[in-house]
Amino acid sequence: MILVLRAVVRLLGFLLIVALALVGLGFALAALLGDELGVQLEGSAVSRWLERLEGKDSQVLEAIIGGGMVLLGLLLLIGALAPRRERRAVLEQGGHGTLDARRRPLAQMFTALAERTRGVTHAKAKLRLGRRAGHGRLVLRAERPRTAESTAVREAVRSDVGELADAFGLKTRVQAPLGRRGRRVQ
Amino acid sequence: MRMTASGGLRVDGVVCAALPDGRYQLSVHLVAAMVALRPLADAVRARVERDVANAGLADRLGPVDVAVEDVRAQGEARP
Repeated sequence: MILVLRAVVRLLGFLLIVALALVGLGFALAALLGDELGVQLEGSAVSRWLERLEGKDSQVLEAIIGGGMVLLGLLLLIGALAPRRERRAVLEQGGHGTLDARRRPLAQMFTALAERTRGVTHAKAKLRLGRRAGHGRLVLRAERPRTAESTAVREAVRSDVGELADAFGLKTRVQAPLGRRGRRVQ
Repeated sequence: MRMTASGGLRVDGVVCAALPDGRYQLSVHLVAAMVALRPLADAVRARVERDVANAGLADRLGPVDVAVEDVRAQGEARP
């Protein structure tokens, strides 16, 4: 989520700077060379819109736009200022130091372990880590051929990854759907 | 701080932070093979402690954190 917001901040920041520069350039040209260029701010759409804002009529559209801009600003602030602290899977923590791993390599390990299991044609691990160390959830999708029983494959995968998952304090859920055609048993 | 390339990104290699008691905490970030992690961490800590002792700084060494940043299959090229 934070990574997405950061990307949005970068893109919008760039676009806003370009738009602001162009608007500023336009106003400057209109102010300096308005007569020569035939541009008049008075009576223009900008001028009418400002007059409407100052008027007493219903301003629902302006309120929605204003609220949206405030929301966008808050999201941009979160994207720009929120600390980018990655959750890590902690294996051990003590006076001699901490042993931990990033989520992606750990998921790769679980995928590799599951794919080694007999009867598994393809595996994919999804890992969600909790805020506290030693808490998380591992969902393993281990595809199987028609010749293999779902229960047997689930138990085999659970047996193969269980020790590592327990060490990291992960709750494990194994799914064993039928695999796609063409995938071979390990 | 030394940086290590991993998957097109740069990751922290070794981070050394001063502790209030005058010692230094080390964090060693690894790109590791598919091996048992606890023995790997023990080996890394033993190597660090040995080299620090050889440098005469054993009493300045605090906790040694080991962080696995990436895994590589056997035979895959090192970054």
